[in-house]
Amino acid sequence: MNQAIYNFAVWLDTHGWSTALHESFYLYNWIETTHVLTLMFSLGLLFLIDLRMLGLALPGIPAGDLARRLHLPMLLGFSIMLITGLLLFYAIPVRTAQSLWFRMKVVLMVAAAINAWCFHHSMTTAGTGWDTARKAPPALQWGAGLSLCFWMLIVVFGRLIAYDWFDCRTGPPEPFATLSGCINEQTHY
Amino acid sequence: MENQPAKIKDTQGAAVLASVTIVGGLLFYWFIQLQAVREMLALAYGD
Amino acid sequence: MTKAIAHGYPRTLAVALAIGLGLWFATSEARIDTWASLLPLFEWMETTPLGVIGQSWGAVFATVQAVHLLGMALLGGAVLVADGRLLDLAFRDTPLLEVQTHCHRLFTCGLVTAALTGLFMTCGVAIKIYYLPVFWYKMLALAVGVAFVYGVRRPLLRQDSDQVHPAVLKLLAVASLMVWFTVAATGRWIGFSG
Repeated sequence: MNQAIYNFAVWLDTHGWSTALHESFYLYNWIETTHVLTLMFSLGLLFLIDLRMLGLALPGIPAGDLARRLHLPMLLGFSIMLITGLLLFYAIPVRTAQSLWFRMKVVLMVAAAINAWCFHHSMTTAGTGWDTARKAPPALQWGAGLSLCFWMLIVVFGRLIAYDWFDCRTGPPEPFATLSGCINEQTHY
Repeated sequence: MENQPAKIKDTQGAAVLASVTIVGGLLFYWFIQLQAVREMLALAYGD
Repeated sequence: MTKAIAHGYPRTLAVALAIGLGLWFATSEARIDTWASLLPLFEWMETTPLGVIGQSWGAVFATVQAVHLLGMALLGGAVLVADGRLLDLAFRDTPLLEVQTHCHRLFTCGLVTAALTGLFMTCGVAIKIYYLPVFWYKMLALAVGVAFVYGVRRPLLRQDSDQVHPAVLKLLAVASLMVWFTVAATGRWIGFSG
């Protein structure tokens, strides 16, 4: 699997656009800035929803209302983050694919997506009556808490991608080498 | 709006003044910034 | 007449005075002098324990940066919902005061988080950013933003908003969105400069 990921990343790296994007000061930085600033949009709204479920924010707005109304703008924010994130990956594919932080971030994002799906499911089956209570039912509170934890870690790991402590060219010890997807003699920048 | 209490008139006046200054100042700032980027790109790649 | 204005409009006058002072400062020699006199402070910041930790432990610095981003996210969410309500884009059926009061609380949480982590980050790279114009633009925008939120926006929205002209509320929202966007964008640019 590490080999397949590596081959795919090397293939992406052979694209002229990938190099052009990486070397373009303004375009790369604008994409990176958009990616980071959209946090205030997508994650900010997500935090409000999660904090509301936990009874920590906006008690005057019915919880279900808040979640339903912020859903669309939040997804819009997350789509911008996904697109800019994919572009950032495309600009530096090999190093990113072999980054331990990036890999953990992807795993957490999958976990967050599953959690969001479960959350959505329990919200639609929760019926009515809980909406105006200060706190949401326990299942939703757990979902909200998990979502907060996942996303905080995703931000931390995302930030750490910039650091090269476990990069393959530094020859990290096991198990970090395998987890980062290092393959003997196959690093390519 | 006609017979607003004096206190609201005051805070509202302050809000208008501050908001207009902020919006105007920032439009100016971002215009200058974009102008600088365009000049830099023109230098690098020509027009 | 002048006396009547001074009595009836203290806050408006204070804002006008602040704008005037700001313009004078920006165009006078005092700006350069103040900047020069701040160098020792920034040199000292790098020698404080915060500065030393920031410089020697990359992991701590990066994690603090991530928390800075989280604080920003909370601030951003609060600003979006509060300004969305002012612009009549969201939560039209929830009382304005209700939305503003709770968003303001979250805003303060986000701001304090971002400010504390920001102080730590400043200590770690004090000398470098001292010479970056974009850092000072950010500080200016931040100072304006904080003064705007606590000195103008909050006092206005705490009152009976039915009495306030609707256009003023929208103007307030636009100014707030612009100022916090600028603070975040110039902040991101600090990392690309120098």
